[in-house]
Order: sequence, then C-alpha cells, then structure tokens
Amino acid sequence: MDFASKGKMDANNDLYNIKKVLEGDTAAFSGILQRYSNRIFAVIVRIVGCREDAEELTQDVFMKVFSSLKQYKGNSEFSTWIYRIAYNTAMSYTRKQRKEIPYIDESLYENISEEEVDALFNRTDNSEKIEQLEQSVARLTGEEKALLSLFYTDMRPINEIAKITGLTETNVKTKLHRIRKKLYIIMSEIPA
Amino acid sequence: MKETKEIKKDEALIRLMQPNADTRLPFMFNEQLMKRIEAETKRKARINTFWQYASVSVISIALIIGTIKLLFLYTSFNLIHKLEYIFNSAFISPDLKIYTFIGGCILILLYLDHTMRRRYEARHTKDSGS
Repeated sequence: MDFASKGKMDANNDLYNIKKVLEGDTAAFSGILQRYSNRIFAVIVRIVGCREDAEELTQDVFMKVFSSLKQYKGNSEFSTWIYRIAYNTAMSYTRKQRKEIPYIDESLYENISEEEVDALFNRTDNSEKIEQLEQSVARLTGEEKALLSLFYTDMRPINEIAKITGLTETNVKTKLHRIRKKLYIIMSEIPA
Repeated sequence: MKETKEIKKDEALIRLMQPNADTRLPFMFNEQLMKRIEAETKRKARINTFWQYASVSVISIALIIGTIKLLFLYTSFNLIHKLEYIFNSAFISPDLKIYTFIGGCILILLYLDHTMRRRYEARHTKDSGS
C-alpha cells in the first residue's frame, strides 16, 4: 500500500472514530490513540528531552484532543490538528522551563557555506559525529527541535509543518536551513 | 521544493531523529489514558446531570412560587386558609413528630433505593465486562 492511500485510509478511520466519539462512544477514542500516541510522543520527547515530562504532556495532549473534539471542523487534516495541539502544548512547556540557549553571532551564519553543512550532515559512518550531533540538537530551542522532529522524525511535508507551527512555508524552510547551520556551529564548538 | 529535497539529504540527521526505543511509549500507556478519559467522561456526565436537576428544580420552585403569588394577588383563593381547612377537616394532629417520622422513612427508603441501584449497576457492569 502506498503512502497516499494509507494516509487516505487513516483519514477515513479518523473521521469514523471522531463521529463515534461525538455520538457518545468513548471507546472509539482508543482508535485515535493507537494511531497517534507513539507518533505524538516521539515528537514531544524530542522537544522536551525528558521521557517522564513527555509522557505527561502526551497525556495532556490527548485529554485536550478528547475534550475539544467538537471543535474540530475538518478544515485541515485531523493529524495536522492533533500535531498543532501537541506543538502548542510542548511549546508552552519549554517556555516555562526557560532553558539557557547558546548565543550565536549572526555573522557566523553568513560565513558557513551550504556545501560545508551538506558534507557534515551526509556522513553517517562516524558514530562519534552522530553523538556530537545529538548533543548539539539538545542545545537547540524548543521551536527548533520541534521543526527538526516534525521534518526528520515524522517526515511531515513543509506545508503541513507550516500549518502546525503557524509559520509560513518559506519561514519553515528558512528556519530549517538555519537550524542546520546552527548545528554545524555548535558541533564545531564541541571538543572532539 | 528544491530546498526541501536538499534538507532531506541530511542522512546524519535522518539517522539521529529516527524513532527508537526511547521515543516509544510504555506498553500500558494507551490503556491507562483510556481509563482516565472514561473517568473524565463520567465526571462530566455527573456534572451535567447535577445541573439538569438543579435547573429543573429552580424552574419548578419558581413556577410554584409564581403560581401561589398569582393566586394570592388575583383571586380570593387563600392557600394558607385552604390548607388549614384541609388539615382541620382531616383531623391531622398538629404535632410535627409524625411528619418528621414520615419524612425520615421516605429519606431512608430513597437512600436504600439509591444504594441497591448502585450495587445492581456495579454488578451488571462487572458481568458485562468479563
């Protein structure tokens, strides 16, 4: 089964489950949970970086989804709607954490070429580099981690990421390019 | 779209961000969350029922008071006199103990009814669940 027809089938199942839940069949919500809980958790845990907090936030997300299911009007994909709730929940959590973010001089971004970044990120043979990359990702802001997670973990298309985050498509692309450069800079500061 | 394809080439990031054991929920997570959701649904249903009863009671009391007020204002009908007449003609004792006793009996019966219904429903749910 190809990706598009699986997506269409999931959307139909979502609509069926939503209808059942709104009619009073609470058990139908387990279908929604089964389809999305792990995916949402994977994104949230990448953003917040702590399993316990991510589990609690995932619970909060689905409680919000359940209680505001009536408000889903079908203007966007149901998955986009759920991810938007998850994104907003994780963002308000990270805002409260007030984690220290490394300052990077704007001029540094200009001095790095795309080729340098490509060369670094297209090498997967060096596990030490992967470890450094993991440490660098941990130092990004919540929004940056969210963009990376939606794009690389969940493989969401740019237009959907834009709908989830409330940014424009161009802005999402620009931010993703900038995040790559930022990771390059942070990685170069980490001692090998 | 060109930019998108370029970003997707980042093999290292794709490898790092792939779902793994750390990004999977515990086995019982969905089940526990469903229990929480069901409890929340029941709580909301109880609140709804309470407000329904409360609003019906308030409206009923308001209607009764309004009716009595109207009877007093616009007719020669006097409810207090009528009630006095009914009690006197039925030879009801003015001693309030008997009414307290009847009221108490009704409350006890209502409580027993409520308890037995809850037990019956609990047993019924358990049976259908297993």
